[in-house]
Amino acid sequence: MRERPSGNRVVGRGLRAVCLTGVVSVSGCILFSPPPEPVTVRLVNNSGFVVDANVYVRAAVVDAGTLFGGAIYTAWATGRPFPTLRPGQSVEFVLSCEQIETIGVAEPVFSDLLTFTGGRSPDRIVLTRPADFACGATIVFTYSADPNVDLYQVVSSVE
Amino acid sequence: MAVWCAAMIPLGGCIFAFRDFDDDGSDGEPNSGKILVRMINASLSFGVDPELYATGQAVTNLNTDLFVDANKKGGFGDYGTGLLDPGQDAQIEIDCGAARVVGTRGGRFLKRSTGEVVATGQQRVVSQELQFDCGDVITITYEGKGPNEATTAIAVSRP
Repeated sequence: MRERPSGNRVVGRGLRAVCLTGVVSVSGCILFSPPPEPVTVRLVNNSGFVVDANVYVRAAVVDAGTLFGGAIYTAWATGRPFPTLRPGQSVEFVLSCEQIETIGVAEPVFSDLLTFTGGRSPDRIVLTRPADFACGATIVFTYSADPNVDLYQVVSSVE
Repeated sequence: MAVWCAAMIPLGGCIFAFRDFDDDGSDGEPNSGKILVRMINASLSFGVDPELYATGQAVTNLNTDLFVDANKKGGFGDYGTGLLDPGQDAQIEIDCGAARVVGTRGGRFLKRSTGEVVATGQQRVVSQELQFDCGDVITITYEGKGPNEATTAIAVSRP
């Protein structure tokens, strides 16, 4: 059925087909605001071990206990047997800003599949929006290890 | 990431719908399917406790991460005892997500009349993504020729 304009509202056919978030002002003009920029998450394995990245994501601001009490976020590992990073591997994935208000990493595990050595990092990182990052940000978790001194760690940065 | 305009709403906006994922941020298991583990008691004189273990977790220490009671597989063999009679074989399926590392301590070769351990085989352990993949068949062969003379071999094949 054909839609008819009402009042002084002007809506072009082309605009009606465009998927944008918008509101109508009191004057009747349509004010479009683009959707918030997505957040990019990059996981960087600088170690010689396979790393269980142990990433957690929530669409609400939650504390560490709630975040790490949930399931590990595995969507980035689709097609892989396990949500792990190979030695030297980097992985990047993008989430809509609404999907990510809290992100964290807890106690990643570094393992050698041949010698069955390695260790678990004690590190826990929790980042929340907007305190620690904003829409459009790139969040980087970098995993590194020095087994000679029993050091297994993850650090975060926001670009 | 799949993003589409699910429904236009009044005032020119729309609802964005994203790929489903659970409230806890996960979107399902990345690893489905099974592996098959075949255990063959090639000894004609001794029974065998195959000492089969599997875990879906990272292994950084075989004794604490793999070879623990919670990971030991049983329920096969005569009357589900988990023991193989001389010349007997058995097989079990294990979910790939629970078989990141599969191995045997070596197997215990038992005197049939008394249950006395007369020999032990050699420890064999394999890792998914390194020595086998989901869907593969792992065959462990136990051969005991006499007291303190036993060998354990492990092989991987793709059906």
